[in-house]
Amino acid sequence: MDKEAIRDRVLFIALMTVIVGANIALFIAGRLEWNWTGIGIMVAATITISMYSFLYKDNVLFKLVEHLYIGVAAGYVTSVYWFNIFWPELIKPLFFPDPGEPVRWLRLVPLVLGITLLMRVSTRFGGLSRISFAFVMGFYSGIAIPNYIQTYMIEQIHYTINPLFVSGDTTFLILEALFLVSVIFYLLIDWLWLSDLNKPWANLLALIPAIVLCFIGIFSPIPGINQIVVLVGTLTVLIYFFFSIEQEGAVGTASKMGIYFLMISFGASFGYTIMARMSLLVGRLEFLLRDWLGILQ
Amino acid sequence: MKVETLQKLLDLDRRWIFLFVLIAAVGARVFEFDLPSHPKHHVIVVYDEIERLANEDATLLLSMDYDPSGKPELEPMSRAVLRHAFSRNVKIVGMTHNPHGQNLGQNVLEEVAAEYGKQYGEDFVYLGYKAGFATLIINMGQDFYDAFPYDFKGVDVRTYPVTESINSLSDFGYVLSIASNAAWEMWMIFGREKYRFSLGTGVTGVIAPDVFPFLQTGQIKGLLGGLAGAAEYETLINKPDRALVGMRPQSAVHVLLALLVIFGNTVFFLEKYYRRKRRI
Repeated sequence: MDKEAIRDRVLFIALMTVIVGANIALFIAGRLEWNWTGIGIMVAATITISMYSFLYKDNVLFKLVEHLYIGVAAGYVTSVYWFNIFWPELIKPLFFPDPGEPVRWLRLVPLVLGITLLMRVSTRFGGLSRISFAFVMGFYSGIAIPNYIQTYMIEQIHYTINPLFVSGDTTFLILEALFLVSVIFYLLIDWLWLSDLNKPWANLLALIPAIVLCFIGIFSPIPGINQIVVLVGTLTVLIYFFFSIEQEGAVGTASKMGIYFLMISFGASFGYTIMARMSLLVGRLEFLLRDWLGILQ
Repeated sequence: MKVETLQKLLDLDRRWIFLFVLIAAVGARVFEFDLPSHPKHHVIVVYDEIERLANEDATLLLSMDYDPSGKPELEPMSRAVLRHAFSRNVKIVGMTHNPHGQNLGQNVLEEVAAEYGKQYGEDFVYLGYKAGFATLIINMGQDFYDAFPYDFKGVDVRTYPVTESINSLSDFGYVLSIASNAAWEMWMIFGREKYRFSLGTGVTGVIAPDVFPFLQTGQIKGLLGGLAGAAEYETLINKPDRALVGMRPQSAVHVLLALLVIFGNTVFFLEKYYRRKRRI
């Protein structure tokens, strides 16, 4: 056994000892009560620490807890489906209707379709599952396609082609016009001068005004400016995705701005993702420090 | 500076970074300090919609479509919205599209209702989970009682005063989907586009950037994005709770990560510079 393996084994045993010792100490001190709530907190804390042990290295404790989670989640969902769907929606109306209620024979249709769907596991009757799949595909396509087109295309395009100059105020109109002129000016400079220089600082010089213009658009209280940013962003990103056209000259400049828009959007998504992951960490820490150890109130 | 030292820094074991993150998060949580929270426009819109419901005596449909993995971000959000709605005597119908989230929704609804002395059936109802997603939403729009004849306790929904005037989704004053999955999108595509009700959403930080294009078009009215969104809502209703407390470690870790990004880039460029210089 090499040095690293011995160190990992020692650390693993130390972690186990700390978890078990802490739980015993918390029960003895009366911090955790000897009832289902106390046991629940103890189990949850042990599982949380075991899951985070993966950050050090993959280990048997992590694997055990991972499998445990899958089993518990599957069991929980099965019980939810039974009590919320199978029993009240299928079994009861078909076989045990309330007095005075008619038997819902139509429910036999989804029952049969559901059973044929499960036939997929059989080599002999597997073909029957195609009937159910065909039903699901046809039904879902029918309800989804018109709604998706309405939501993602018509409404979005409608907003993009709204009038650019919407403010009634003359000052706002002048500011909007100035903003539009500066966007066009930036694109022209980039096209006529910067794109030919082929130097790293030229790219930086092109990037800074693009970011400044985006920020002005995002934080400006004038609705028209935001509209211009949306329009320019949509057009330039669309141009970037025209791979059948050589991306040089005016097309190259517009496509470069499209890349900046995409990068800003990726950056925003990444920032939000970090925030989300950290929130999960904060949530677990809160549980460990307050509910388990009782350090925080 | 030696190139080898810089190279060592670039190859830093990621477990050190995990340790720094842990120290920053625990430190910021244990040592108390105040951070300002400024509600954004799209958070204020949700607040205004709840105020509108109170003024119009309309009902809120709160769809708590999250599971335990989204709980740290989304439960403080649900709690803050429920506190606001109950404090303004808005009637609430709760439900979930997430089978793992049935008890989470029920618990938070009952806890906050108890805080404000609200009665089940009179002031709020919890429908629980039902499968279907898109088809369930369409069904709710066509005939609410056909979609949910019973609540999660198995009691006829028609017997409750809070749901007696609800026949379709259009009868709700505002629908708010607090989601850790695609439920907010389903509400928009199959609900809002068809039945034209006012729809808002509260989502995890990962999902939030996807919602912004729909805020601009007005398809989504109001957004609470991640723990920050929840904290801003707590600020608006002036009831600081877990979200605002959670923003302390959150912000500390953000600062740490920003510093690490700057540090990593500086070391990268310095290493490149010294390596080139040595060759010369």
